Amino acid sequence: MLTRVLLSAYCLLIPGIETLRVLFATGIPPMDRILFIIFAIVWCAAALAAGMGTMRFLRIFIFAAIGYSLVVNLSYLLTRFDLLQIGTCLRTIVGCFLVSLLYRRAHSEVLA
Amino acid sequence: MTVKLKLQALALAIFGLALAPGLPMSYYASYGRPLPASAQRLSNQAPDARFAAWSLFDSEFFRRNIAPSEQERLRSMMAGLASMDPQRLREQILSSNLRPSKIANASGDFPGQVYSADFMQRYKIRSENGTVKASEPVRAIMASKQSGQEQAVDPYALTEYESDSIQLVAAMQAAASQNDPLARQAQAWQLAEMDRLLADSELLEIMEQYFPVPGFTRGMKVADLAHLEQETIRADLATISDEELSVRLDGVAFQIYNLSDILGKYAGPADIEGTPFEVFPVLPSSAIEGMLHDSIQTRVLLIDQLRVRGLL
Repeated sequence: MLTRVLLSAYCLLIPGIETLRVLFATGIPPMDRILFIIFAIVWCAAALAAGMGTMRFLRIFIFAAIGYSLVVNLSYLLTRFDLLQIGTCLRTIVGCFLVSLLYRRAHSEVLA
Repeated sequence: MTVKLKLQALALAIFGLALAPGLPMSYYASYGRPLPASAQRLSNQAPDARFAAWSLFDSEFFRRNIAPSEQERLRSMMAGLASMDPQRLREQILSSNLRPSKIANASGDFPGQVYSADFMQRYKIRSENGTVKASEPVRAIMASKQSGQEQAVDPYALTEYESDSIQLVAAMQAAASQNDPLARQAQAWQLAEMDRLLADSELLEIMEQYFPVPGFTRGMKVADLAHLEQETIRADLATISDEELSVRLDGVAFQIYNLSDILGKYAGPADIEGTPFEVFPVLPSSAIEGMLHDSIQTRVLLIDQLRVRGLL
């Protein structure tokens, strides 16, 4: 149960952290950016599923959020291959890996 | 929970927060950072600099150094401003651009009275809206500086290309009240401001990073930049296409028109003493004359090239 709470909190923090990051970098909150809005929705949905949903829902939403983040990052990496882009992409991959670890732990807890 | 476990949890939390998934920063890049102070100062001058900007848009180095999509965007923006009705545009200029703190008279009033007939008469300021002809003093300056073959060319015998372009600009300026004396004096002041901005290292850094001008070195003045541009326009005249030649001629025609118009309505330091214009540091008329003469030389070369090609 603790793992699912942690997973839910972490998924909920992700859009918040992204907002702060953009706010510090550009001085403007990213609330009108469509890719960011989708990003926030999928991660919030994953957080909700982790907190209240079944394992089936959790799996769908977690992998939707991870997939969306990776696809957006990789598509930007293809159009502009520079250090900043590579760094963001690596960060996202590691972050998504952490989320998937938490998910697997939650999953094994359910099985146990 | 042991201390070691707590530390591990803390490290994991920090690690997790630092490596949270996100979107690429370049996606947000168009937001841009807030403008640096010097760019803010420049943008504060924007509305009444718009016709100077039009000239810039038609200049050779602008076309060569700015991406076509950006050129298009800037042109549409300026067209939007130009489409405002004259009264609204004038109000905008008076309210937002001329920085009353700098040009207010001793009692703090905004010097709207500079437009009075008395003022116009007192300073012999020409305000023939939409006319192309320069003032007699300017024509005299140019006549005295012409020599040899150049004497055969009347700077105001316009080609078809130039005529169309100048009529367009003159009509726009007349529509936007840009042909009035304050606007022209403000242009002379803007040139002086540009001289000052060219000593602003923060702005130069931005310029060097985003709008590198080949041949530009720090320490150059506006007149040097203008000369640099003329040299760029004069380059490769024999090999460029007819269309390119006409575009360059248009650009130079704008420059001659604008510079001679500034000079024609230019009031030197002695003339503006005791008037609200006194607080404007303007570029010396000799510098503007030099720039005008430089543009005329370029025009002579362009006209020669048109003749060589049988286009004139």
